[in-house]
Amino acid sequence: MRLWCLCAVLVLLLVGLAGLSAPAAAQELHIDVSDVPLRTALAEVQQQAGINLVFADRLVEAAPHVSCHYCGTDVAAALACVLSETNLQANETRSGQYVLVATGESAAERPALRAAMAGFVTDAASGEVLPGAHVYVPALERGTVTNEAGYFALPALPVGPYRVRVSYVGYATADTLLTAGAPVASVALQAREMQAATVQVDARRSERSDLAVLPGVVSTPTRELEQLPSFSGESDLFQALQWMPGIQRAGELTGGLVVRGGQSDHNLYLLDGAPVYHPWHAFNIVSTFQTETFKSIDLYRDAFPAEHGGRLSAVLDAEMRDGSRTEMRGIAALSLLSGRIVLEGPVTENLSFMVAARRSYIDQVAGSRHPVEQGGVRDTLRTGYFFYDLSAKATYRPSTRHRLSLSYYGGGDNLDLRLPFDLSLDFSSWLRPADLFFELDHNWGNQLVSARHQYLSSDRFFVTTTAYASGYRARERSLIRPSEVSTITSAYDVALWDLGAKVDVDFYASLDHQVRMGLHVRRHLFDSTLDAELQRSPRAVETIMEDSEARAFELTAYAQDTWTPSPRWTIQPGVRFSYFSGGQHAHLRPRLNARYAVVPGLLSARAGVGLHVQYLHRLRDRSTFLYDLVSSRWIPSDEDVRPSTSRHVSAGLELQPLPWLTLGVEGYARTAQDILIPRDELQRPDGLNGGGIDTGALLGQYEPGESRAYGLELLATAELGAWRLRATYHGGRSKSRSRALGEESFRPTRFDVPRALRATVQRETNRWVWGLSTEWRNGYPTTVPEARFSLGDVLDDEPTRFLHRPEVNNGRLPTYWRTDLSLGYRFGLLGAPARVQLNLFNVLGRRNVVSRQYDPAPEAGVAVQNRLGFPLLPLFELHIEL
Amino acid sequence: MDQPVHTRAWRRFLGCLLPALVLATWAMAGCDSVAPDPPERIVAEAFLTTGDSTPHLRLSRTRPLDAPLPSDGAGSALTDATVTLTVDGTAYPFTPAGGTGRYTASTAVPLQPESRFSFEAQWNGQTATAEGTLPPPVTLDSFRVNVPEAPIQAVLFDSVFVDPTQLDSLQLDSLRTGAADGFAYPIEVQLWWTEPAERAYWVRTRLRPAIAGGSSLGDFFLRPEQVQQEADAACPAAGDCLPPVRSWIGVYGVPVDDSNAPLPSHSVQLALIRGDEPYARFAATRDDPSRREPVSNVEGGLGIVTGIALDTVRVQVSQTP
Repeated sequence: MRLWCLCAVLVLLLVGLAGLSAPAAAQELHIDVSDVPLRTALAEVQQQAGINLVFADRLVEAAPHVSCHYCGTDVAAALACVLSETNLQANETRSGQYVLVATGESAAERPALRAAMAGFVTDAASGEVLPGAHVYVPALERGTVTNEAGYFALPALPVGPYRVRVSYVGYATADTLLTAGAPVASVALQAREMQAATVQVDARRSERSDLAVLPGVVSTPTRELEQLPSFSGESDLFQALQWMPGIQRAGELTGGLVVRGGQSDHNLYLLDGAPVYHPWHAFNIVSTFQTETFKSIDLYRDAFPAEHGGRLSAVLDAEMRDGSRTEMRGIAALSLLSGRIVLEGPVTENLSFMVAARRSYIDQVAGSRHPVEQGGVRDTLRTGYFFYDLSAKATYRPSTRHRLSLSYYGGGDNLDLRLPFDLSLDFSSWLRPADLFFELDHNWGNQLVSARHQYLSSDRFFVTTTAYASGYRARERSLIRPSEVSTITSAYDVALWDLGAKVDVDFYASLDHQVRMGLHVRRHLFDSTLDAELQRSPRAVETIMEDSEARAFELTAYAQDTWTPSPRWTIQPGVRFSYFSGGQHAHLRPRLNARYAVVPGLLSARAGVGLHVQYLHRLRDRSTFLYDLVSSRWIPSDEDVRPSTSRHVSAGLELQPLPWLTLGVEGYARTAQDILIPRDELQRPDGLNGGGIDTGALLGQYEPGESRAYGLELLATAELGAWRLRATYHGGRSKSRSRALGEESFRPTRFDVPRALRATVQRETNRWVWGLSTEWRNGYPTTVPEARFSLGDVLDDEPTRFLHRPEVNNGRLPTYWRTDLSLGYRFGLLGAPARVQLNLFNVLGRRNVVSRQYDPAPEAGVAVQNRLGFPLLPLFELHIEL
Repeated sequence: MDQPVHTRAWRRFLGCLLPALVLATWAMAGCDSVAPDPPERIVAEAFLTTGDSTPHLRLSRTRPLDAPLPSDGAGSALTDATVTLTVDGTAYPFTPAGGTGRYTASTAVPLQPESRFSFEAQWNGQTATAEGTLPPPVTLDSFRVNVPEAPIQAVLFDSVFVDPTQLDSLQLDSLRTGAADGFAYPIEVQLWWTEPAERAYWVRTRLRPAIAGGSSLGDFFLRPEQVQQEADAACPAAGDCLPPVRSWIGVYGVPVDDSNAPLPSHSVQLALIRGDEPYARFAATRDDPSRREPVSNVEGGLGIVTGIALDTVRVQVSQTP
């Protein structure tokens, strides 16, 4: 195994070093000669490229005067340019040496000189690169998409100028003239203003979408995500993504997103290439992803590009902003939940930065420490809770070919309580010295550092090298004193570290083929410890000291070709190999995606099929109050725990019947094997003692199972004048079963929602913004009893009444329906643009049933107890652009 | 601007296709439904005790949710089932004894340690079966009850404790936990018994005080009952015992009105049950009827048919003057 690690790291280093050493071989050439003797032009090439030229003087002397304008790194292309008006050609005999020979053909008879047209697409205001921008050459009916560095290349074009259309959602489409064979260009796009007065319908939206190959991808710009309604009153990625079809926010302890019926831990969350294992705060009310700090966010559902993997359901790939290169900018905002600030700007011409911070402040307003005194006894009660995020990124661009960036993210939640047991909303009744109390000191969060080098080694090669360390840790400390003689203390720690390095190479092979390949190695470290003492009485004392440790190494290699056999077709075959040291698992997973422009500009179709594998499982001890209350543990696959695998197929159509209207429909189906299903879905923490933190004990609460999900999604978006409308419908099912639990038929999963309808409508004028959003869906599954029976115990005098639940999740909660209203007003505050927004969550005050409990105790019938969701909540946000 | 004919045709086609897709997805999604009138199923209850030659068992049936289910079993008792208990290869027919669902054998049934048994009941076309092994007898070798001199301050509960797993659904208008500070006597009881050498079993230890009253000291923080593997019932302190002797300390609480109140004289049943894993699963999952039903070992039915060894002692507890 150590040999595997060593080999993989060596390969990565070699590839990375190859990228670093390439500048010597890829020197920029600027040949600009006009009507000069050939000998003069050749000398210019020889001098700039540092090559040896061998030729017969008579051939050169006999040649006519030549002209050449060439900028690039290709020596052969430079020589071809110089020799284009002669009957000579240059043949490379060995590295750095060329021989000129006569071809016998005239210049007119030789094929045209070819070169790449390449460049970067950037935001005109900030200089930020725009990943995923579309570059389209109408004359060739060909296009491409910028990579994560905003780079594009259309290789092997006949040298000359081309009219190019560059577009990106949220930006005005730019028509520009670019030259094949010219130096790497930079195309700056102007962001579209959101105000009604300047809203412009982008009539060429479908041309952009024609270029997107993958079905199911959500690439909404962060500017648009910020406009979508959010429960917390502030822009939040998870809240915004919920308005996309097939995406739901999971429960408060489950955390994360449920994408197309998958499990929450079947999603991979990436931040600048590094995984984030717990990307949510405040019991999943908000995510750790502050939308303003990102330049791009892509959510791949089912169909991932080959570079992504390791999960079954979805990949969220977020890239932090590099920081404005033009001017200092900033945002400060205050919502009911938190305050936040984002600052970005240039340090030097080549160096820019972005810093963002967010913190909830309820603990500062309401106070987190409450000194109390009664009868000469002093105590300090604590009610502290806050979450925070700190993001920073510095980007250094020594030249157009190099970009170095260093990213940091740190964030977490902190819960600090010391309270008496007799809580109620009558604070005065319990704000007193407490002899009997419980103390919780829990904190949990993520930290990551990612360093990235993006290098354009030649017009056709783009190398991205990333190294990262990403950690998730949780610390739970509890002290419970329920009586004078009993004390429960517990110290529980969970830590997960990922140390990884990867190299991704884009090779623009030809106009028809764009190849991406890469290598990724990572080391997983899992640790957890529990140290507890349960003193229930002076002599009933139980001590628990346990620890769990696991290590694993993962190696991944992939290759993917984006093949454009015709202007209408784009086919993307790919393959991904992965090896996981735990259990010595190795998998080769193919993928195939395709796009066909049925009616260019009107209708495009996409389809994808692929296999995925996941080596990590997120589990919790579901039985105890002593640990795993706020944290979760990831378990690596090994000899006993098989990796989960899945197969998926998806297909969709996108239609733009009117310039301002886009309609989409997409169907999907996915099956997964070897997922872990709780043995007892109804298990909840109900005691102090759990199974322990040993992995085997934890796995004893789960059984391997399989799942299947399928559905159809409809999406309609309209932008007309000041109006914006988004409506989605999702119809589908998500079911699972475990034969080990005796389940023969599939049953609905925890978040199975057969039908969900969501819509938002917004109207935006120069001053006012208002929006109305609504969500209607079937209630979540619940386990409904079908009968009652009584059963005694050998020690009891009377039997106990029980409810018989033959099937799990056999019923549903009542239909969920909620409507939110938002109203915003723009104004100037001390000369800075500002906006104040009022959000009315659940404006109709409908108390949705979020869980239901059945009590079998009554002699006749069953008592039903509903737990209700939040009532109407007014929320606000003040947003200032600095 | 004129559009190509094929473009207009596509639009017409899609104009028909999309509504059809909406209808298709609506129909495809479907919904779950609970069986409106599920068939009644056999519920078997038998604790075959080692050394007991006159075992009995109880049969009942499940009832619809809205049907009455009196605590005396009236209305749900099965009195017309065919029941056979086979012990070490010998079949013993069981017949109804009265109308309460109780079944007994007409002859003595030898329930010896390590005897294999199987149970079968037929009723209304259904067959319920179970099997198991009888454990060695168990005896409480000794016990000790510790009563504190005075009550201690303790948290008392009079309703359901807030479930921290349901934060999203907290009733914000009350936030009431049902807890209050009060006084109670924590009574410690230590039990000793001897583990058999033959094979590993599970044990259930239980303290069952006979106390009248409303509020209670939360069992959550005490330990009036525990189900564990017998080998895990280690002696709490060095010098208490050595294997194969096993020991367990349980705690129950007796709430009182104030810090000067004497301990109400009461009795407590000390119980020690040895059983197999199915019994342990049953015993560990029968404490929360509103959430789940106990794990059954009956194929084709519900309930529990298991072999146990049992020893109980009833002790009168009062404050030592």
